[in-house]
Amino acid sequence: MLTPQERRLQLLLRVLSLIFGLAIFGYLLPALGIFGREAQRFSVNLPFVTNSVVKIGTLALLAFLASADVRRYRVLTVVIIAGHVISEVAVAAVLLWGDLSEPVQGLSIPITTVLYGSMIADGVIIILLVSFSRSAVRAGLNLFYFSPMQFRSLKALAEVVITDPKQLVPPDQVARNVDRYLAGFRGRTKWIMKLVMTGMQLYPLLSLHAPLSYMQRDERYAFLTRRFYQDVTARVAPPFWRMIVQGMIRMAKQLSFLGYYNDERTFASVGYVRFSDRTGVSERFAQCPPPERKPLRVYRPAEITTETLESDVVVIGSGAAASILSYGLAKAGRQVLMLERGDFVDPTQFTDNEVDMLSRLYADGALQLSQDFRFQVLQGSCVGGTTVVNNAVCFDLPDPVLQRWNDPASLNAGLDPDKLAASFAEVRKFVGVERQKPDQLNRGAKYFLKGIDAMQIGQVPNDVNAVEANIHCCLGCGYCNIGCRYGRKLSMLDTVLPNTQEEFGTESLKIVSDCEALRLYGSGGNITHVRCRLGENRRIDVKGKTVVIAAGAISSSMLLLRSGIAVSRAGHRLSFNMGSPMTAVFDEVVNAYDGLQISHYLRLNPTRGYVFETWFNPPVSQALTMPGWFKDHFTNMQRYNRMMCTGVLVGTESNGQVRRAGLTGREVDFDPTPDDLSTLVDGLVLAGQIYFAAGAKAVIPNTFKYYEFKTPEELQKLPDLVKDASDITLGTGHPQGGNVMSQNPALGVINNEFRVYGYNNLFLCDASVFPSSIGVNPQLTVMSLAHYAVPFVASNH
Amino acid sequence: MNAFLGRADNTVLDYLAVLAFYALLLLAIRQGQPSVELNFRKTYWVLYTGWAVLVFIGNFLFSRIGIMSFLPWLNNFLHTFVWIGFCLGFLYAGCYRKALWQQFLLFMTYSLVVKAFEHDLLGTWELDNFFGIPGNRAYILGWSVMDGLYPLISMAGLRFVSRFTDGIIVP
Repeated sequence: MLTPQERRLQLLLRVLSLIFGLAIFGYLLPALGIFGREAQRFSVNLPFVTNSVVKIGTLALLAFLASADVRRYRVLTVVIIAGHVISEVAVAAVLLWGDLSEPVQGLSIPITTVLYGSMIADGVIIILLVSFSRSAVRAGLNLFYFSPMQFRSLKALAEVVITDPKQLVPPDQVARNVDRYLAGFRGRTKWIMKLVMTGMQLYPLLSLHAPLSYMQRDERYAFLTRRFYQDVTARVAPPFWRMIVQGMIRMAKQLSFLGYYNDERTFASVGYVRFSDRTGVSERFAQCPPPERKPLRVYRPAEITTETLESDVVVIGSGAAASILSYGLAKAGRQVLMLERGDFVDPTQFTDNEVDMLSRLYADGALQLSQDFRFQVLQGSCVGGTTVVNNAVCFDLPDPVLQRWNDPASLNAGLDPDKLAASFAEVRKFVGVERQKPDQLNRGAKYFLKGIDAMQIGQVPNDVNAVEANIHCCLGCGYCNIGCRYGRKLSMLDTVLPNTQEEFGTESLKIVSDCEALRLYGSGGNITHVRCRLGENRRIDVKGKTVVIAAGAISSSMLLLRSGIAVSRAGHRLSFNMGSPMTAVFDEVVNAYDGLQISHYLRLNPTRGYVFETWFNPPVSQALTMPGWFKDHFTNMQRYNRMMCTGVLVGTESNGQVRRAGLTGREVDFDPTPDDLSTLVDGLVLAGQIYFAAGAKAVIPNTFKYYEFKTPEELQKLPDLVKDASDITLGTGHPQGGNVMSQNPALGVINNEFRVYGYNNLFLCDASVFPSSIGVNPQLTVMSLAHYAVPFVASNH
Repeated sequence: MNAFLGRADNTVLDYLAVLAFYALLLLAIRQGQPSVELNFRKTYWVLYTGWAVLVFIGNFLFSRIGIMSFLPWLNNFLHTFVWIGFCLGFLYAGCYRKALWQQFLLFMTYSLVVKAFEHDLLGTWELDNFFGIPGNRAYILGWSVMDGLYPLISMAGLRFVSRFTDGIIVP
């Protein structure tokens, strides 16, 4: 059954077939002398007539065939379009460079008029065919986001990227899943996926190959492996081109995995069981009854009827810092209005569908990448911020880091260590930080501990333990990163925000979701209002006596830059906890997905610059970071339930920058220093050694070129194999700095009272104020700094 | 001598070259600070208006009393409304926190470069003395030194304006 759009195309093709058919006579009849001697003299010129008759006849036949079955013979429509494009180019060439000064025998009108007329006719046909064909294919495929060409490109990629002989999820369905995923959220950068798919489709033309989806499967596989993998790893391509190619293939790969591994038909093949289907779940629930959930009142765009909102304090963001601040400010009697860019997703609506939750809870659907596409930056974008999707792991601010921050000769943050320590203690109690108990822990962690024991590196002064986290009575579902539907993770969404409203009333804390702060406006040193985008495209102004930015390291920097605040300092000195996993493969089934995603850590003393954290994910997230390409990746995913990971976390130098630039107007520019990279690789080698000591059969770093090390000796080669950051996949959920705190106004964006230099009523408090990377999970430090900041903000009138 | 364009062989293209030169200098100025800080914008527009209008008139009046050469109208307009108003205002927005002697040097240097360029290209800034000190070089250098006082004069002006309106930053 054809769609209306397909029927429209069919009609157009039939009409064109008729016109082309009639045109045959238009060429032939004058040549036969039907229209007189003059016309015959013009038309009889060979090979003009024969060529034209052949051309127009072929087009008539093609249009006729294409109209017979517009779906099956879609390619014929493309051929007709291509024929007309060639004709346009040829005529244009003649017009530009041909000698048209001589009159043509038998032609009463100038030849240029004929040629222009021909170009116009061809142009109209091209426009009609492209537009009708595009909408017909889109409707036929039932696409929501991709264009038909992009869809075909992704489908073609999925066919070779996922080398599943059984095709548990057919490539067409993979592409369809991705199309629905991308259509399901609003993202600043998701259009880049369209660009990538178009690029992948057309890239083969550069080497005179057919577009990607038109290649045979084997040819496509060979092409991709050669151009997108071997050329890159062998450094055949220049660095910039390599970066683009790597970026394209990474994104394309990620999209294919999203579409494939989120489909429940694949779960059994990788050995994954959803939490609700796992054995012993009811016992876990019985041991830990569900907590009582308090309601949270959040205003959605439709409920905001005025063009201006007002409050004592406007807080931009709703994550760790924003929530703690709001509680403190409400307690101090201030009326707080909280603006959150992301949606409000009630925890009862959380599901175990990874892709669904990624699209609803993460900034850009978890597709946010650094400027060179090599570095994935994960940030929550929902009411509750990153606390909804992080692992809730809490570390105190390491003493040496605080000393470095406060060093008067350099960063000179000017924080009061005693008051800050008191804030840490308060926040620990307030958000319920506790050491996680063994029965909730990850099943894979025992291998990590076994390896540490075998290597005898677990004793004091080294520090190995279960993590502390604001998680209570964990069920071990392993869904920390897609929102805890069971209320065990004490995120801001579950605890602090509803508690604030309960304690001080909903008037004391108003939360507006889907409200993005675009720009601050002011007069002199006073911020007068915040211009916001509410919902799709509404603009509202939000006024407050005090404005606090707490939107996270990237977004806060962008807001300052867009507003022209701290213009030469905002966004600078960005750092990360750069991470990369070491994956270990065991003979026995580990089922590391069943339990806390991050359960243990190891810190060496004296430090070697990194922290280890055991780590594992549900299948989609794991697939996104799984080492290997094509067959290697697929083979590894088949061993998913026999794997365990340890993440190596390195606090980087502050050499990153958030900038207003690039295709999206928002660039995260970061390239790890050689020292940071070498520290990371050193950590990966040690992590691999730990797993070998625990009996791992192989360990696999997340390198661009695939390496699977079978012995500790082989593993020693790793430092030689990672020459620069392009050789390894890096990631972070912990961007820090950008708007650092310093008592030196030439360096800092805020002073030690969290006030932005040069502004009386503007404060900033989130991870962006960190003067340097802290090297451990920053959540507790962010919250404690917010607690520390409350008196300063509250005292501003 | 054309009152609008200056030297007989000056064309609009020459003035476009002047604008391009301003743009080049602005690029250099922007290295210090890429845009005008939000809290300084009102101050910037006050400075822009004050300097551009007063200097535009002043240049003409000074030429009438003989202490400056006549600046052709287009040169005068571009020099005051684009260079002094826009570009030097931008420079001031980025450097007003620096020590006064540093500001003085910055303004003097930029002014000297611009005057020398306009002199070479358009044949303007052509007078043989600066308050009795002989030579065209003395004239160009002398007025550049005077331009180095921009921060000091601005400071006094802003202090005065801030009595009548809010949101003005007085360095």
